[in-house]
Amino acid sequence: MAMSVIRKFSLLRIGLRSEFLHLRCASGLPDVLTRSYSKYPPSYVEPLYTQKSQEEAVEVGALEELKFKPVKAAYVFQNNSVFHDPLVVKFSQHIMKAGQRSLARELMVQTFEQIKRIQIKKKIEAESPEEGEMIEANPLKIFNQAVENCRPVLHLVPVKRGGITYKVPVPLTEKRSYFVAIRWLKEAGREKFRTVHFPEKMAKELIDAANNEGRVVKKKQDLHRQCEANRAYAHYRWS
Amino acid sequence: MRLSPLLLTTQYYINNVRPKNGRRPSRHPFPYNNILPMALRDQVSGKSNKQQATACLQEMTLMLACFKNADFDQSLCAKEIELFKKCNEEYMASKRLKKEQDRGTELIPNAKKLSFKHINVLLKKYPQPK
Repeated sequence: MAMSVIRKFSLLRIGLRSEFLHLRCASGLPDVLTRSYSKYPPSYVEPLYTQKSQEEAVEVGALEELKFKPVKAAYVFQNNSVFHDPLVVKFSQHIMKAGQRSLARELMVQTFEQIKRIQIKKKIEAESPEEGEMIEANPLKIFNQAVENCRPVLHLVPVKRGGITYKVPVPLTEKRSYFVAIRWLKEAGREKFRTVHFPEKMAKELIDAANNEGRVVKKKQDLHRQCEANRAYAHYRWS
Repeated sequence: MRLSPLLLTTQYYINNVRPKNGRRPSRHPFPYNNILPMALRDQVSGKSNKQQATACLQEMTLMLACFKNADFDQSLCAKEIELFKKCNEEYMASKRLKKEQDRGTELIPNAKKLSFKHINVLLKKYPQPK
């Protein structure tokens, strides 16, 4: 009985305190007191999980500063393997459905295998050995080139002016352009006939994109075309 | 008709001079009651503190023109894209810097253009003579 009373009281106190915090923040005072929604407090720093980034930190002299700071735990997908590629990890995370990470990774591996098979076949079937030499067979390189080729520079943002909504061309940030490219590639890979497997389709799309052709590159060009058509409204940015 | 001070002035005063005919004014002059104090405040609002909206417009136009000429093949417009990206990055960096400076109230020596926060700091330090 006594315990429950104490618990109720403490709950009430917490409730009151949060109310108080809320009021303090609403009144325009500096929001030092707002509760953070992050798992880690802001004093924690991001981990330098690759050897390269650690060496860079040593060179710049940033490591001295980080020495006595608490570090966040690295994610599962962050590791120091020689096969680690942040873009590949990003892509497999986009592919992932319902948190099935191992399945997404497997699909990624199968996609790379398909790319390799297709390119090796092309190499063998090439008319001359010089031509065969020219064909890139490294799936990782093809993948990176494909994503790079699909990145848009501009996009269209609706801006309302005088009752009319204009489509205004606006530059994309680097991060956003990677996101858009990955999303387009993923959508192209998923748009397939029922009997075709995802890695098969994805491999074809990636090879096409790496050669600057295919539907994803066309999609990007179409977006740029639309931006070009709406260039007159470019000065409407940030209504 | 709503009786504004201006209207009453025209009715009661002729050529800004009170008539000297000894008559009682038909309407009493509008009493001026200053609701707000007749002095400038020691603060400014930061409402119009917005940056130039159309940054890198020239670069964007050049890049789009190049795209059109090259039939939207990006590889032929590498130089234009590079220039546009660089311009945009610089703009974003300056924006970020400005935001950071606006956040802090620490004064920047020899600054030609003051942010509203800096003006407020200075006005607080040297208030309007009352």
